[in-house]
Amino acid sequence: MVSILLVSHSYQLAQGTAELVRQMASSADLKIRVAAGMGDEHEEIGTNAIEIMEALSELTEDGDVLVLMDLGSAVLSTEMALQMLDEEIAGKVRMCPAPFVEGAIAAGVQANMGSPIQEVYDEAMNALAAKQQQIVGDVEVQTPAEPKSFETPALAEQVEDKTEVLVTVTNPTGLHARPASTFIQTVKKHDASLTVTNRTTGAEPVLVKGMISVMLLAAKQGDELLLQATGPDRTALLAELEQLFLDNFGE
Amino acid sequence: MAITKDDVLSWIRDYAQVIEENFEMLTDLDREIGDADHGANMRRGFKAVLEKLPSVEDKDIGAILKSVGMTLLSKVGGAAGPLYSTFFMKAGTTIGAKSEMAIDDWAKALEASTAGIAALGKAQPNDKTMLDALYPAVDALNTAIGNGSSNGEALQKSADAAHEGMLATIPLVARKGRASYLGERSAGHQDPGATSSYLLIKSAAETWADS
Ligand SMILES: Nc1ncnc2c1ncn2[C@@H]1O[C@H](COP(=O)(O)OP(=O)(O)O)[C@@H](O)[C@H]1O
Ligand SMILES: [Mg+2]
Repeated sequence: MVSILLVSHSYQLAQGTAELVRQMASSADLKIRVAAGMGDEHEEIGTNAIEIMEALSELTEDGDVLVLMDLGSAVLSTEMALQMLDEEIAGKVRMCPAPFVEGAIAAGVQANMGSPIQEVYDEAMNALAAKQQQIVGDVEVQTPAEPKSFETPALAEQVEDKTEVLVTVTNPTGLHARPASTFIQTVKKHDASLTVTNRTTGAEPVLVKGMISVMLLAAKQGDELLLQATGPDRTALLAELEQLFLDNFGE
Repeated sequence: MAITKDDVLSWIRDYAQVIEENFEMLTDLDREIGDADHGANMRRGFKAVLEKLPSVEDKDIGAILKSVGMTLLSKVGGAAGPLYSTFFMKAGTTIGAKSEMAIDDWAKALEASTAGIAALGKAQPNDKTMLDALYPAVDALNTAIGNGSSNGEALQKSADAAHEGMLATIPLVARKGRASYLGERSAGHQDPGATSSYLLIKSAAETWADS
């Protein structure tokens, strides 16, 4: 499983962010560490490349590590730490320029599902888009890993074993981060791929890859979503998702 | 004449003293265009360096400088931490296991250290950073050595150039580091990192004046 390192000038900021991530990605296997603050009690504002080095040496024992950093000198300290580490360790580390809090949450949810580092990275990079869409409306999203064949309904329809179901969003706040996280975790449990079309907004179908793609549906209370699944577990997946919508995602 | 290991130790001690005397001024400069911590950062770093120095003072120049770099890395905190750490570590590796160095060795070390800071921070000349004091210092030192100046003269020229470079940061708009968040408003203020870098080169020139 990909681990996450949060490098911040402020110990409180890093700890608080880690707490937010754990709330959404609670599996005991997910490792989130912080390297933040300076001084014996981390009480001073600053970053410490030595602490970053130690954290990276430890986390890379379990596989790849995504690093999120707050401000410029956190980036410098992380680069310095990577320069001083063995190539074998440094090779497992990926620095991610995503916004600190949003990126950490998106990465945490994705890592929690056992996705490889590239997907965790992409998911973090899209995290700002979900917030932008919430506040200023339509945004371009970079989804490099997205297979083209699912992007248009015409093509999706060519897949023969497709099953679909129409659901209505009942949560008062729509598909925000927490239901989106439950949603994606349900998708990832099944051997199936899912395309969702928000019938109410009339937006393009979205291939669901991670939490952010769910949030980008901008699904509000009352919106109708068409869920289309392909693959061996498609029926089980759709049944489980339908139930989630009926249960208000437990809210 | 050469710069001995003891001269190098004296330089580090002198610079720690200079920081102690100027940390408020450095912090004041950082208050104008940053987060008011550059002096405190440097002071904390060089206090730790002074505490560590006795345990490495029997080693060669390279090892001493590398140890200074490592100490700064875990103590300075802001951008200046990894940047000054790089400065001392690169100088240490460039000079190597020597107990005394010629002025040429110092010129090579200063050049490599400055290049190390540029590689890490990805700043260009005139981005209003410590490089704006260091690049002119490297240039002036090389030119003076090429012209056959004495060591003392060459070092003084290098410090004078750093001083000019530092003053030249005043009208610049910051393009790297925290001050870059201020954009145009960063113009009209002297860069704190360029100031501490000038003080470092000046301290070397004064400590090694008779080398
Ligand atoms: N990318 C960079 N390259 C070179 N020097 C930089 C860079 N970023 C910052 N600096 C230098 O660091 C100084 C600020 O140091 P300091 O206040 O200790 O760190 P911080 O900016 O993190 O608070 C600046 O005045 C500038 O000279
Ligand atoms: Mg500062």
